Amino acid sequence: MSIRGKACIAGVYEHPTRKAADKSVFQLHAEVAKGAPRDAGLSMRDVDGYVCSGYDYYHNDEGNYHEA
Amino acid sequence: MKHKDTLRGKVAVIGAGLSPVGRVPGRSPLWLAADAARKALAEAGIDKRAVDGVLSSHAFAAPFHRFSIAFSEYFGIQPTFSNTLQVSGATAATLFAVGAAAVAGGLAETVLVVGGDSLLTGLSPDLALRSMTESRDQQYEMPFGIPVSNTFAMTAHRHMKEFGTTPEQFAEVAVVHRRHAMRTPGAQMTAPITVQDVLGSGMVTSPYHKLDCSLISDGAAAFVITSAERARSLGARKPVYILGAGECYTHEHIFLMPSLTTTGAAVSSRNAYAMSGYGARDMDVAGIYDCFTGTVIMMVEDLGFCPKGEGGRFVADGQITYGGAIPANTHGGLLSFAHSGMPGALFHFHEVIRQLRGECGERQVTGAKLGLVHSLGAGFATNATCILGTEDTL
Amino acid sequence: MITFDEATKKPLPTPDTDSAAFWSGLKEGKLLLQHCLDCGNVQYYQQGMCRRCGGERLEHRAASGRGKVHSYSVVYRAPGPAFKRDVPYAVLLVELEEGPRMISSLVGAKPESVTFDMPVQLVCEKASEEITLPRFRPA
Repeated sequence: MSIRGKACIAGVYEHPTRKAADKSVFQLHAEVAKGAPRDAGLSMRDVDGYVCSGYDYYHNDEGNYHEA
Repeated sequence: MKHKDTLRGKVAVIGAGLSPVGRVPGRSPLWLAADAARKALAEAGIDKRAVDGVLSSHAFAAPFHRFSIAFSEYFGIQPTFSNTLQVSGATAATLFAVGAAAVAGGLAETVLVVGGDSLLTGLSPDLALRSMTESRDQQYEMPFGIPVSNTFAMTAHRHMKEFGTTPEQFAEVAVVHRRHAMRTPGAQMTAPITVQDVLGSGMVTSPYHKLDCSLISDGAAAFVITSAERARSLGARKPVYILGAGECYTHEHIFLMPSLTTTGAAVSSRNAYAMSGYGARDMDVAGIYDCFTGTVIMMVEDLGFCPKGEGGRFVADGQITYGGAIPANTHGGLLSFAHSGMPGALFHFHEVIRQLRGECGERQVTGAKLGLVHSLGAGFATNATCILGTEDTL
Repeated sequence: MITFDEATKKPLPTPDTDSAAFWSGLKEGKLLLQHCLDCGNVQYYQQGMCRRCGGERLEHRAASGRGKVHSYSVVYRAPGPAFKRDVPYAVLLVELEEGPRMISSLVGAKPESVTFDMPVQLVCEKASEEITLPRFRPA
């Protein structure tokens, strides 16, 4: 079993901006995320998975509320 | 449309381990995780050197940016595949799905799935404060004093308005979970409670009382997963197979949740069932993320165990316990067994796997062959479902 | 690090490049929604592109300030020391007349008086020199 040859990169996009003081991090993510499917000739509706890098913001948010 | 090449039956769980849970002072999240991991490996009958993949959740009380890497160092292994996943409470089920995909895709042969945290005794004052103040969006939610419990409370509240679900039905969920925990060795809360106890336990955020809310605990769980072929060649005792997996992410902010009463679990479970070739009616046992009582009522609907809006009645009719349609959280769940944050949902996996292996003693659901585990988080932002089965179900 | 003193202060938003216009609108008493000139979608909160069509021709228009309570929860146990003095208080999920929903909290009435679908009206409440928070009172 291996992933050899099973998946391909269908579209790529690199943001042209290097200093983006006027854009939020989400806006930058969104702009590159828009570019890659466009390059592949696909629309957002064709996308069913999303993986990104970035700062991992971990916290306790699962509703634990009482100790005993 | 051509069927996707799926994971169904390709990967098996061959070992499971639990650390002590509940109040475990003096033990770090890494120790708890390592303790669970060595037990899982012992059960699988393999040495830690045979592990080439490690997947983990984050630990709030040990805020490493790369918990899976820190864990591997602590445990004395150097895996060739590793990641620390973060989709809040849904992380548990995604650890199994991603781990299975890695094994099926040949990125790793033997993956240790592990999570540990010590929310009860391990948080420094700094982390305890951060856990309260940083849990929701800082611009559009937190200024209004909305804890994450409040987001879940608003979904349950709307469920009451739309379907006539009652506080007594919510309370019944807590009562059933406590009854289950009373038969689970090591469970954190084992004193019996009644519906009246829940309703009288003090309001936290309406409609939830203190006993409608899950626990704060220390604890860890770990699992060894490998390919079905390798499980057979190792002569693994009673492997449990991953038959289906599905996820769904519908929003980040609670005000953008498409419907407060139908969640992404409807989609994640539909996809998991489709992959497995089984449906809700085929499930013998379930592990359902129970951060709040109403969450379970909404989930038995979205997971297909009863029609939308009838979850309250379903619970009150005894359908989520022994003799009912779907015995759920037979270990006592997050409400009564333990809830150590993201690893909390791994306890549901541990219980369902033990049930499918017939190892639950007086808690055993007779003849359990198929099980569902659903984990979710962040005000229903994240949902992930796994279908597990014995050899007979392949 | 966060100190106990810091934690006793209520968290206030730090506007970013997506949201600066929104927060300055509130200082002038306006709750700005984004209207997409390409697809007509109306959205809250503020961002650089339309969540429905991805278009970037977004226009800020002030909301009427009228809405109704889609859901709510009255908080009795505060999320951290900053909100301890305020309990019980009602957190509202308001559905605005224009469609979008938002999180806010109730002013001008007892928290226990909130009901589902109750009509509410925007109140702009100054929280600091920079920040005015959008709250709601019974209409």
